[in-house]
Amino acid sequence: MFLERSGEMANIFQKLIPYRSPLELLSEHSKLCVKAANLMYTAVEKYLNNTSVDDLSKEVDALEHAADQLKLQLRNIYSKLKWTYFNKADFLDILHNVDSIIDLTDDVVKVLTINQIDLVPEDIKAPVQELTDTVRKSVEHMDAIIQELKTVVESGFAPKEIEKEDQGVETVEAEERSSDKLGLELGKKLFAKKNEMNPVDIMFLNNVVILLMRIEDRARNVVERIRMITHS
Amino acid sequence: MYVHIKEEGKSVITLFTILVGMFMAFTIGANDVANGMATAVGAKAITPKQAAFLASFLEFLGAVMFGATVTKTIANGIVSIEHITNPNHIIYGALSALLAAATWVLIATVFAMPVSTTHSIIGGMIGFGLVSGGVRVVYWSNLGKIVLSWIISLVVGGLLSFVVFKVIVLTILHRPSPLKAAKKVAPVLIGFTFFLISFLFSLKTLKKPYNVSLLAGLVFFVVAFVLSYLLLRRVINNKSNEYDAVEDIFRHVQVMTSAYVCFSHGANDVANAVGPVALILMIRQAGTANLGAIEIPKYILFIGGLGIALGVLLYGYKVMETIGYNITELNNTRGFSVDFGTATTVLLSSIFGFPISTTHTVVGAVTGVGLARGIEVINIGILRDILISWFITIPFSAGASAILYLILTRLF
Repeated sequence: MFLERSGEMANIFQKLIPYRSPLELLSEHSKLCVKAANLMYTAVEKYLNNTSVDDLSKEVDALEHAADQLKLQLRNIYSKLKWTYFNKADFLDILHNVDSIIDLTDDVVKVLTINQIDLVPEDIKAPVQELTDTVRKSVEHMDAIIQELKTVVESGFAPKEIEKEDQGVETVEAEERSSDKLGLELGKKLFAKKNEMNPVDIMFLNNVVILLMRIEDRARNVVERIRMITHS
Repeated sequence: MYVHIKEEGKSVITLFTILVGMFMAFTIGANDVANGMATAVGAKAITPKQAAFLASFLEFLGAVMFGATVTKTIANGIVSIEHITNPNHIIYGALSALLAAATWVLIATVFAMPVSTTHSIIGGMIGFGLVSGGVRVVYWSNLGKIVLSWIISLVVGGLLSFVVFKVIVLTILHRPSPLKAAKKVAPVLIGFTFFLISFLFSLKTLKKPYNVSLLAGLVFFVVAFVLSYLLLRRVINNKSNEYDAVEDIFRHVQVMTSAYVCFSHGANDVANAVGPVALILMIRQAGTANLGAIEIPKYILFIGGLGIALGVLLYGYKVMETIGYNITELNNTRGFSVDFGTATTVLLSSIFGFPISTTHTVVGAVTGVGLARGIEVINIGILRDILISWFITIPFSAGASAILYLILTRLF
């Protein structure tokens, strides 16, 4: 008993440094976002083909719950451990945005379970699917940047690794611009159908489009913050 | 008849002091081994069993090779014993200091408080000094230097680790091929470690001239460099990225720096156990309190080193198993920098006779690597805990030692 406790006492490292690296936890959280975004893509595809997405919603909900646990662990680390070379506010902002991505993904899939549109016009289906695909890819690219951030840190902020990171950031920014354009065009198309489609369905689909664009926004916010911390 | 009883009593006290000293050494070995070996075991570079064997050998070696100067400081550099005319009172005083320190370490361990044996024994020596001769018998300027060394050791540990990590970053991690660079730079770092140990051992312990010591250091540098270069040359990259391969190289090199921490720890901390014992044994031998310039006999360091080694082997092993691999994800390059900064600071303090806390130096070293952007997040609040532990440990052990001294001198 005495020596077991002394063992705890002796290992100063456990008191100084968190058992899990915050970056590692963030990377796990981000991987969950990718999984959720892929499920969301499948859900949108199924929804547009008039198939129920209840099962997928449960899966995304479970991922969101797991992500919440990681978020709590991360916040716990940052509330206990006082000093960090990343600006604490920057890191917590990244965490907030990454967490919003999985929350919004969960929202999209849940929204799809509350109202089924019997017949989505073909010229709406394709751009919705395209927008969802762009959003999914952006989340994947954001994840790649977070994973790369681990390499940047491991390399002691080597300039060549920061350069790679910057290229990834530019990709996500370009995707955000293109999905913005796509979302806007989609909105116009939807409201142009006010005389053909049920207005409730129009508002419903527009809401889905807005949620998708928000996910894209969050992914851009994450990568821009990462660029700030790698250049600070 | 009376004289015979008195002599027998003194022998019992001497034997008892040695036993308490051995116990203290044993607890130091059992508790502190994790400071040296935790990063290497955590990195799976070495098993807890291997770590215990290696650590016990090196703690012993460090104690015997470099332990004399700090032991001298504890025995004769904190409290002036010249004012005490009765040699028995010095024996009681040293025993009180040792008992008070051992008790405090025991209490702290039970309550899992991170206290330092170094601070405990210094508090103990101050306590008996104050009640035996008042404030004038404490070497305040020496004590001031020791306290200053506690602050300096934090800073130096941090500075060395900062520099070592920056060197690794610039000469390895930022190079076009980090793996190739690591194969060239790591042997230099290993060679430098061996240079430092052999140079200081020759200069300070063997008292050889500067040029002879330098030559000895260079010979060890070349041998260590060539051997490690040949060994590391064989490492091939089977990792997904080169940085992982670099970490893999440092995973092996870290065994060496962990051993270096144990070696330095043995050199510095043996004094906490045998400082008072040395004082008692020397007074027993001289038969007078007037010791003049003292030399610490090797057998005393041998006893202390043995106690520490036994502590590591018999219980440190269990401590390592308890911790097991369940430690933080500290990269090997970072672990190397922390170990190197810690070990070098502790070894240099031992050479100059400053009893410092290895654990506290680790805190400085980890902070140094953090400041070099090597560790993401650090619990800087530990620095506050360190300050608190100074303010609690020293008064407690001083008070306990003073009370024990008064009791012993009244009883016998």
